Amino acid sequence: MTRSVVANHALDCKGLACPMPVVRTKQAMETLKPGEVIEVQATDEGSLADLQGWAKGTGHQYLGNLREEGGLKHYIRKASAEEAREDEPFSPEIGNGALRELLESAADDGKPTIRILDVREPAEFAFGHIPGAVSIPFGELENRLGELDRSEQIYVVCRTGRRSAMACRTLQEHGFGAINVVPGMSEWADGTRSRQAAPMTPGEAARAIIARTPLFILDVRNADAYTDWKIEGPSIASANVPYFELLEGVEPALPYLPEEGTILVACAKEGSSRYVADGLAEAGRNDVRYLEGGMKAWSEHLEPVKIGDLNGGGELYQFVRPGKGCLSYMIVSEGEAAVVDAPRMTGAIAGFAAGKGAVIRHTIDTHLHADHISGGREIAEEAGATYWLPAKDADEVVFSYEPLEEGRTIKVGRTEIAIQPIYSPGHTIGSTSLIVDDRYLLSGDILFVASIGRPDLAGQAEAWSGDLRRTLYEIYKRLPGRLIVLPAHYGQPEELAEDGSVSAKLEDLYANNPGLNIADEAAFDNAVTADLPPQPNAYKQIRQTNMGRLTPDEEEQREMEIGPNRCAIHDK
Amino acid sequence: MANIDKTVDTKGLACPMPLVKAKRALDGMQAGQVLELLATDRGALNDFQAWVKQSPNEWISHEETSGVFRFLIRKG
Repeated sequence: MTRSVVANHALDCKGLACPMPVVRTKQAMETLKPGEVIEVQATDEGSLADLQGWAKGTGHQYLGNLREEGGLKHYIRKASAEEAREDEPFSPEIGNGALRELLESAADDGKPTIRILDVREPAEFAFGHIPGAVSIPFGELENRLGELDRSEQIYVVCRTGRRSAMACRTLQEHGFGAINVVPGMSEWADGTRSRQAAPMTPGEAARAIIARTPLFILDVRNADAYTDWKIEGPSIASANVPYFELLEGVEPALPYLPEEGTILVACAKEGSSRYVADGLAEAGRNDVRYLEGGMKAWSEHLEPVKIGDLNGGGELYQFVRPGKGCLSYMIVSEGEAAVVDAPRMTGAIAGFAAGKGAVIRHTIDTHLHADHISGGREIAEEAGATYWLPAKDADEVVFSYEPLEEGRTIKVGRTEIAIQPIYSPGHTIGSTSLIVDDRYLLSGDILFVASIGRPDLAGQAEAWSGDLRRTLYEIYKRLPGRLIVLPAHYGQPEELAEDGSVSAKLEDLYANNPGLNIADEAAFDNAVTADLPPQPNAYKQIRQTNMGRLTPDEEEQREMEIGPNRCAIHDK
Repeated sequence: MANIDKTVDTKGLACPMPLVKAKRALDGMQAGQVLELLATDRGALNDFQAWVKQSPNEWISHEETSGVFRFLIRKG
């Protein structure tokens, strides 16, 4: 049966979901004169209850509807100015976040259940709702009030807070205590907040530093931790607000944040930064991320950078560890690899070699490290490779190793990529540099791009400063100036080149590096022994670990390595 | 040995939950009462000390027994 109803206006809302039919109808209504009738064509089943409820709330008259093939036609007569009521938000209302906290605290403390009434259509409810919520579609509410309890507070939720506001009015009229939830299910994700921040991996953060992409970091660790060690770079700005000041709201952090751009929230392990980042997102900040895995993951991240091709198809890679300022190397040639100054993240190194189709044959430490735990021995054990260490640094080690000595060439691949050790004491008494393929000088912790090594980490500053001077001012001086210096550390992120690598020509360093331009011997002694920066965190235990005399578990190793590197004399 | 008025067990929970729960518990306590917080998150120790320092509450003690940290705080 077809009926025809005369309407003054027709509005097509077919295909639109809640709340759009109401929004469009409201807009269209403004152009109508009092007493005129609008026909609203809709396909959303929820539009029936929505428009009925909206009309009731605003004083317009819902005349009725026709159900036809292809949807519904609603007829609404515009009220006169005296009849019309604004569809104001219902009060009291509660934000998604506050409701979620209530739910969590109720779950914790065994308080009575929070009664949630979901007034969306059954299909909407079926595809996702707050656990424990009761479903009564708004259109059925008046007939099903008997299912609700007047002694309870009822939190009413819909998709956007509009239908639920109408439901709240209905409930209030019938003597129920109703609270409207805004904005409701449209922003109720399954996580801890209604809006969730996205993660940023340490690799993404590292590449932002390398590419000089502006990034603002809100570091929510304790002030001490932030002062001691943080993410830095030429394009990085940061502020520190401990997370415990932000648990009740992110407002204390807002004055520190830039108006625009990405904000990366960082904490020790991730949990707190995620909490704060979600809070910022909920407060309306766009482009908020949290550091995946926290500073822990940051301290362990390795960014591989190709330095160059070697004779006969070989390749040289540098692994930049931005969280520590450490640099490791891999020489790959014809299915074989050698690793120099490996970090303790042995899986990442072994995985990279495997990706290159190479078997690790050698692991080499240029010296007994005091700033990071070496992975050289472990990688060698797992790969059946040879572990090389300078004998003079190995007096106290409790494992067997191959002595790294000048004159013993190490070969990788059949094309004979030669690794020539050069005895170059100073940072440690055994420190030995490596010349690779007659083009690269792997200088260990003796010579850096912007500074020189410090001789005091084994407690021998005075004794070793003469060795350091001889190495830098005599032994290195005799090497070809064209060699590319590849150190085991860098001090400032500014030292990273555009491709993310850290390197410099030896002759350029003789021209520019302050540590190579101290003419007076006494002044040099003073520079490398007096007024040095603080020692790296736990450097004594790290040395003991690298000797095999301490065997901390992974968590303890991580703790030992936390903090800045400080192997150079200028690393303040 | 202080009398414990309330205990909050956050064993197994990661940051920021130990602090969230401790704050929530302290909010419901009277000044002078003592809260005992149990936690297994290593980070909780430093965080908690730093937080108590800048709050009106008083740090009484902490100890670690086989991986479980026990903090006592007097509400200020």
